[in-house]
Amino acid sequence: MNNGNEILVTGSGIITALGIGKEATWDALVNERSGIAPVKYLQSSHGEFPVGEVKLSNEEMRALLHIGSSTITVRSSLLGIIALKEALEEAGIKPSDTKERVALISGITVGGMDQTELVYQKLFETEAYNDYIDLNDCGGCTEQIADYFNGFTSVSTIVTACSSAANALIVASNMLKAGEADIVVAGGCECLSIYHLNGFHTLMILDNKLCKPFDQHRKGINLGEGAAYLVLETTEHAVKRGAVSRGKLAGACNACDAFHLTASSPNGIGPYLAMKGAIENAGLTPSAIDYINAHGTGTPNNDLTEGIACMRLFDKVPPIASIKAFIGHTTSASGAVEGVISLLALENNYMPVSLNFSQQMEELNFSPVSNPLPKKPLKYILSNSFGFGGNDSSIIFASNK
Amino acid sequence: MSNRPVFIQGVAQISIQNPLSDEWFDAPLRYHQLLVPTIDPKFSDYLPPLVSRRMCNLIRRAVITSRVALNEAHIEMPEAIISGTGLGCIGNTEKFLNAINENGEEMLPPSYFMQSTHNVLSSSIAIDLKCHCYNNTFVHRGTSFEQALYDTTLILSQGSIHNVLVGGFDEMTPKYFELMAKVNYWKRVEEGFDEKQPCFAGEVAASFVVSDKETPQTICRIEGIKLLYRPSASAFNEAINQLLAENGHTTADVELLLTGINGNPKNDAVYQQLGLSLFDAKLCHTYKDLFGESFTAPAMGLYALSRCYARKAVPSYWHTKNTSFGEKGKVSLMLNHWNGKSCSIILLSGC
Repeated sequence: MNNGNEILVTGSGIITALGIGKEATWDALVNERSGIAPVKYLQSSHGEFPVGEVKLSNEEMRALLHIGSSTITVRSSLLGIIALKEALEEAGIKPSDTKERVALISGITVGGMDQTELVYQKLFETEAYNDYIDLNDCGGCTEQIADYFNGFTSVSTIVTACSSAANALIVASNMLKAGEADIVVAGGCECLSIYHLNGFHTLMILDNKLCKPFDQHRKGINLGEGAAYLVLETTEHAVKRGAVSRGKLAGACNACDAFHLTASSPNGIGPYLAMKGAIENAGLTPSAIDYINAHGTGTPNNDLTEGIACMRLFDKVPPIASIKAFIGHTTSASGAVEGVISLLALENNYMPVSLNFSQQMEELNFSPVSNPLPKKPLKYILSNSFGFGGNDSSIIFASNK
Repeated sequence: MSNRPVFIQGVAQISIQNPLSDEWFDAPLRYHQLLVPTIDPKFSDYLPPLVSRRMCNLIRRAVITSRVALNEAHIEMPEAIISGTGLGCIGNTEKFLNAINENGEEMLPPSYFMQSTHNVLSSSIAIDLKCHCYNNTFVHRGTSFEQALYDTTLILSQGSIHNVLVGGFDEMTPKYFELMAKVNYWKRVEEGFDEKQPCFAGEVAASFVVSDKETPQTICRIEGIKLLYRPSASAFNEAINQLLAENGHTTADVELLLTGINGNPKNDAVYQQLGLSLFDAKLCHTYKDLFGESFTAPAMGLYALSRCYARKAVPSYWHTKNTSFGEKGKVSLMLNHWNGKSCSIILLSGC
């Protein structure tokens, strides 16, 4: 492997139900403190579903970011800006102050729906809500994030539902390998909306109790929200500017289940191909994987097919866990949110556990991680993000060691 | 290492011009209305009723143009599927949103939600073809399609994928038309169609097969593509010159410039800053007067230009002096912007 062309992570930022920033996130993970709680901020009538909300109102986030009351914002942008700020600061990058090509790629599906759904009728009736119109679509939301910082030389938006941010990271890595940018900041953001909470509810895949990934009696998802971004650059570039590596994006693969718009195939062909492809892309064999950050939504369908795909790929399934019982399913943001957590796991040599687990699934020959201390130092973590439409992506993060 | 050229092997469209045909080239339909719906082919000629029944019209169009483009390229199974769409199946999104508004959060129909995520287009194509390969969707306002095309060139440059099915798909509902009119993308219904500012909304479904090698099926070559965000006029013009230079060309080699000028002064003025000053006005042509404005309208522009290369001629109404088109050494440029923020430059040549 050409070391100068490795993809390094030189900064990252995160916001979830566990708090703002990596420190708060990690503290909650190691103390096994879940962020899932009854609905507080989302104005939904479905109070029966626990959610992983970020514990800040839009007004509080705007105040943190010094955004005046005359500027219309959508919640996903606010989450995105907070996470992006942490990532850029850690990497020591100011897109507006550099002549280098700094690209932004963001994954999102909800866009500005959280506001549109509240003012929908008024959009047609008066002129007072016109500013919401250009923020409704996903690209509009990404541009709001980009314009807060200024200076990004290209700005793109990826929508593949729950694998959006993972695919943003994959495209970012390909851009760097092709020499198309000096630095790419990639990730995703997604707030809760009445729209998709109800959408998931119509599919009957929400759990009205705390979710139980990989448990025999799992019932469904707790939706979450959040954002995370990773600053990516080649080793050569990072060395040249004296940036510190926080870990590597060692390989990735995007595959498609091509089975159903919202359900995954019984044999888990999409997840299998994504994981297998990522391992090959990293130049590894399955036995090199030390820990799997599973998609593990807690639905009967996902955990079964993901588990079957793992058993097919690995002679012995490595330690595997889903952190969705901590933060909920952060949907479009999950690939980046769980990517940042995977990097923290590598850095701290600690495997976040699967909460709420009690009974092994009868179809599987493994249980999720309950002991967070690895037997040998963590070097490679495989992180899965599987979306509606069978958009399945896997990424391998590697430690610096 | 930079991106290598890639080759367009097959194209197909269903739009506001006659579907799956080139009739627009010699006998374009001309519209004098603000919102023009798609002229659909007879879906039952292409899709079995059981399959078709589960799809909304935009998905049907995406699946059909994909099949036709693959057929033209003599490829059965693509190695990647990538789409650009500004709004996805916005009709379904509106139906689900209306159901919430009307019924509250109870007894909602799942099908509208299931077909409202934007990636339903790429994934429906994958399900139709049983294609397990790379599958991606870009949703970024007026450059959604170019971002998909850019990703196409990126993954082809990696060397392990050799052909990509890439498309641009958007529908326009009366409701969304009304919202976009309120923020001046086009005139409002009550203002009526204005011949002096003739911008109108269309709908888009255009598919392309793009390969890393030239073959007997090759229609034209994409020499390069650049995406920019909020470029200054000088940065945009520099990017054009750089793209030309990287591929061994100068502005003198440009025989045709296709822009997103649409008859809306707010949109058109930006092109005076971006790019037009570098070229003779006689080289500059438009496609949104044929296919309408849409987030993914540039897919129709690339489709039109591809067909010009296939025919080695441009439509008579483009009034170029040249009798030949696409000769060796000559290139075409496609320029696009959305609100002066997200911009794209595509460089093409004949084969």
